Amino acid sequence: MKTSRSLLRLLFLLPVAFFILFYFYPLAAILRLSFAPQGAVAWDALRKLVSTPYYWRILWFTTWQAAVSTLLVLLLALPAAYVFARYRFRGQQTLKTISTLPFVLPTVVVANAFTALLGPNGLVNGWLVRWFDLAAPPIQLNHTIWMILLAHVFYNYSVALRIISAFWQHLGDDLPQAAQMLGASPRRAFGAVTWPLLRPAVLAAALLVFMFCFTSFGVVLILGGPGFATLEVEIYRQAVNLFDLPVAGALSLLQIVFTFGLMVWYTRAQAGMTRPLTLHASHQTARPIRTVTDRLIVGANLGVMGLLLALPLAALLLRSFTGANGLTLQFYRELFINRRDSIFFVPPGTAVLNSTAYALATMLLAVALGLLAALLLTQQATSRLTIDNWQLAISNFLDPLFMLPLATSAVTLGFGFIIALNKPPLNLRSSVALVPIAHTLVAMPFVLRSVLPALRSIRPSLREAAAMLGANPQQVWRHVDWPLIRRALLVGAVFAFTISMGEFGATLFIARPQSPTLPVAIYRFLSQPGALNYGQALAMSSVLMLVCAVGFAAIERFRAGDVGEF
Amino acid sequence: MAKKIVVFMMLLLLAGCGGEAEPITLRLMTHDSFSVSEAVLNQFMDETGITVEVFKAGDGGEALNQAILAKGDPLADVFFGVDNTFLSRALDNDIFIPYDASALADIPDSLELDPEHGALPVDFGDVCLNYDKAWFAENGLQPPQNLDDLVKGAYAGLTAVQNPATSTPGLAFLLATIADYGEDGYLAYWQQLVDNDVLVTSGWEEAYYGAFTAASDGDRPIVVSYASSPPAEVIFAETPLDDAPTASVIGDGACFRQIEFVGILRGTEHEEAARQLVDFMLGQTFQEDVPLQMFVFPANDTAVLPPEFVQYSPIPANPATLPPADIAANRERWIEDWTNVVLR
Amino acid sequence: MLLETKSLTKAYTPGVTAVTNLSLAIDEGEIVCLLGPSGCGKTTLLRMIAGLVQPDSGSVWFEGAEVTAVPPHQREFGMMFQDFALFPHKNVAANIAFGLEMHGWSRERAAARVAEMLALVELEGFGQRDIAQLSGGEQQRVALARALAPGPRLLMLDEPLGALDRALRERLMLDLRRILQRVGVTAVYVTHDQTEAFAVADRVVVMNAGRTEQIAAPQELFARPATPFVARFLGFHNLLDGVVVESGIAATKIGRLPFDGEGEIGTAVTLLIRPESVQLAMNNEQLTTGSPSSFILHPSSFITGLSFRGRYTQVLLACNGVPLMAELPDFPRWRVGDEVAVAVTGTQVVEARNRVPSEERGS
Repeated sequence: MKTSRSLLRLLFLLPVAFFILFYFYPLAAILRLSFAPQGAVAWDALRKLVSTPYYWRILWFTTWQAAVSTLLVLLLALPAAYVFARYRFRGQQTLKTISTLPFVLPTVVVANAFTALLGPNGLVNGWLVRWFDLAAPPIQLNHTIWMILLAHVFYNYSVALRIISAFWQHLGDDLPQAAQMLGASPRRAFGAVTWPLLRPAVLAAALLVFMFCFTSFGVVLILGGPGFATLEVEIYRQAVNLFDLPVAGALSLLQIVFTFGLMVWYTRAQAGMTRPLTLHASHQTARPIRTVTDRLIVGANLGVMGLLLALPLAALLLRSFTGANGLTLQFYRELFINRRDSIFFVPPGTAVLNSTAYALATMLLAVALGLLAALLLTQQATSRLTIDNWQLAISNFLDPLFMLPLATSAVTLGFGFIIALNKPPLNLRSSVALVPIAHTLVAMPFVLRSVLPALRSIRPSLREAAAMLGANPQQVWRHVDWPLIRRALLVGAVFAFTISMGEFGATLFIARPQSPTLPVAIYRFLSQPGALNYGQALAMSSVLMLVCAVGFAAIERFRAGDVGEF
Repeated sequence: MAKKIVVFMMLLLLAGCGGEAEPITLRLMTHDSFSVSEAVLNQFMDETGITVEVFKAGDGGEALNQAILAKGDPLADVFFGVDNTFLSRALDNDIFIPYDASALADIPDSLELDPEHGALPVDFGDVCLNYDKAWFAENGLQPPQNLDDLVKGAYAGLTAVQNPATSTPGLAFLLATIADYGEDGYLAYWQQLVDNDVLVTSGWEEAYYGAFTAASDGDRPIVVSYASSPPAEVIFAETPLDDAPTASVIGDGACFRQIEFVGILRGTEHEEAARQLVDFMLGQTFQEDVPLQMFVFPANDTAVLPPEFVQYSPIPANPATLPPADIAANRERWIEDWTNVVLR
Repeated sequence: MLLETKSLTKAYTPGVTAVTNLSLAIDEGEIVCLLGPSGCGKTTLLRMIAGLVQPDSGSVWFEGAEVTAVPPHQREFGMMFQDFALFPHKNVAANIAFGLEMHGWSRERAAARVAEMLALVELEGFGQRDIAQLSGGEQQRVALARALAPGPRLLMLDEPLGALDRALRERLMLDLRRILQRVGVTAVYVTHDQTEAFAVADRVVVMNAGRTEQIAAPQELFARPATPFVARFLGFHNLLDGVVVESGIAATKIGRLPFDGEGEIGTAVTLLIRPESVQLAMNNEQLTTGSPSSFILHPSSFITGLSFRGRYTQVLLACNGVPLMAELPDFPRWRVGDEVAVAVTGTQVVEARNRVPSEERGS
């Protein structure tokens, strides 16, 4: 009994161990090398940082563009989350899948989709010029802040949509209806009742989106152009192009400290906000589309999604089938031909397998660790041991810590891996295992953020009721907690899978043997001139989208298990 | 259960120890653009019995920085892909073991930038302006002949270049302007370029596949790319082409020559095998494989070029060059000054 | 007439109506119970009155004006939900004050009203409590106080005691009636429990499959169930088919039985034999037939079950193969299997086919 209990305790410490080993240890190593190569701290870099207005401008830009992006994402995704939570209609699942596809696409490819639609010679400008007989294309978004914001919405829309709608689905109509019966108009009922209850999920989504935009790299670099720089871009420039590790380290530290502060605030706000709720089964809360109003609401949201998400994706898909002489399968056929007899040729099947293997490994690792971490944070694990203030404090401190990898520059961490993980038994710096490990660091916060609100919303009485009915702790978990958080966990799993599928940045800084993933293969095509290379890059991107769509469908299938869909 | 695990572990250990005459496995660390024919690499492995594992570690700068960080306890035995813009960084950090390869005799002195022979030249490529031949024909405009043309009014809004802070060809092009107009004059030239509505992108991909009229929906018929891009357009054409759709501007000083080096990493346990690999990479077989694999020119004069290269990629007679030490000493300042003029 | 529904119809899935062509009128100050098994449409009817569900056809009238299209928050009705729907992010006082806030009450006035309501439901001093800390009974009272606070013109209660245990329910249903009467509010009360309906309501609407079966005061309902469904729902099981053979007499499987009222000869009827109208004896001679209309059943009857219920004993009989139930005031000396003599003192017609149109049912 005693051994099993301490084993359990060890199990819950796994995520902490994982973080220390693969996050804090490499991070500390690279920061030590940056600041104190000879043992004594070199304060110069920090002093330079503080005294150079340029860096403050970057921090300011990084912050406000992330805030505005987050606001836009929420503004657009919140009504859609309502539609997905409250209505049942055909193609709903497909739409959700489509909304998540942008997440995996390489920035260069997305940039091209936008250029095809909104560029100077793009579709929309073409129409406008023709319809209004204009001399010059009216829309000039390239290399403007609007392009950055648009791309951030494109990429992060589904983060907000999925997290918020998954939670909203389980919020019954009874509370807002009670408010209406007490004289609140639907709008006031939303403001006074629905919104406060929804806030934990909205805040969780907002935080993730903000983190992504705050650490935005490809979008700012490629779509924003050289005129814009976020901290992440500047860190890359300092670390790679200038090899100025002290300044890169100082900027990384700034980024981490800033985010940590945000996280601490978030954790406190979140804990004070979450209430135990009666969660309803989704089939009770969703209704078919019936009235004209229903149609208008659903239609408007689907319209936004179509314009914002489906159109660029469709443009990409179409282009992958379009050659100089019209429709063609040539680019797809070419994927299977090793024209140059290169040793690095990747047949699409192999790239798909590699990507899928990494993604599945990441998903399993992230879901397992994320769930353990969530349990650790909700004190569930420790409740049967002893809860005291010390443990509570640790928990409040741990939550923000788990989020840090999202806010840490990939290049900083990648360099950290190289200098820290160089000795047995941790000689992993050129191991394949490092790829899913790096992906998990980024994916785990998603699992954690999806599961925590659900876990915290479970009424203690449900667990107590089950226990009183004779369920042992494992059975309580299986019959009460598990069905209630399964959906949230699924959302986390989809994101973990997606992150790994599309991740390119972190992988880049890891020396890796030959097991190229789909994004790596796409970049390889894009790095050389020639219409065939470009066409193949688009074809491979379409393959990537397809693999992801199939992956989502497979993951979502787990919903229909034997525990009864919640 | 525990017993089973122990047995399993021992088996693993045994498997790990293997036989006595363990074949050597060499690790070649390089950047993402590295490529080689399967047959060519197999030939080396068959002849020597040495297995080669290739590790890719990001672009040239990223890979080099990783190699430097792992100094003394290297990630690999051989490093390929440091170029002349980064050479000083590699040499200052002393990551290579000098090796006097015999093949150096066949390599022009102009490519040998490291007198210690720690870094040995493998290939070179010229960063040049590329232009869309069809666009210039349709618009009845003469293609540019040199850098001076770009600032003329007729060429306003036609050129796309890359940010030297984030792009290798971008840096090479900046260096070409510095070599041509001197430290005192290049910023004035860039100011004129800016006034002539030059487009600056972060990377080569966005410029070529995002803005270049010959390869995208973009509106720029002139782009900074490589002298080898026109033959690549032919080789990777959708349908077989009689002529390249693009061409390079190769007038005097219009191009900047990038030279790529290979070196044996200090700390290797297989120095002898590493030398064999370096010899192989400088030898004729590998050198003749270089053009079609990496779209650069072989350093070894004895290598025969493929026909597409002969036809569509003339080698500039007088490319711009700068000593690596100068580049290393001034790069940060040059980029900083450039950024101030062009981006701010 | 305070509230009227006219021909309300609602189908959630096409073809399957939850409420069909339902008309109902409620007077000022009345407490009306909608009683019926789950799925009978009573909650849908309530929600249509509240405005939370839009009828497919028909209309709702309040104080002589049509309110069918008025959104729920403008109807100034109150509602108590089955699971109380208390706002978990507000404390007790804030929950009660919510409706006042929505109606623009000043802070001071609202605070006074909250205190008044807490006193009404006997929860003085609970204002600052968290909802999660309340017991089920306390939550029920808070929900009632919240619904009453803005002074609704009509109060709706959807199974307000459904979530509570039996003992608590017994006590609270009396409290509830007392409070509703003291406030004098008109109320529509949905329940599936007849005890609750009888205890609380002035009038009971028995619903079945989206239609009303009978509308009557509790006593009237119990004394004269109008349809076999109502009879069965109220727990009467002695229902017997027969044919009128002479005035006041019907022939059934167990013999000729008397019934109240007239009946044209040849009409098929369903008769209800109330358990207390069944008399038992050792033999026919011992049957004391007090009423002139009591009839001795001639086929042999056997006791198939005996069950002691405290104030009475329930006796199950098989009379010519037909099951009958009797209630005796004391515990009889028979055993299961004994043959007994049975007399029926009277029956009620709960259904007469071919003759009485269904519209004339009810009060």
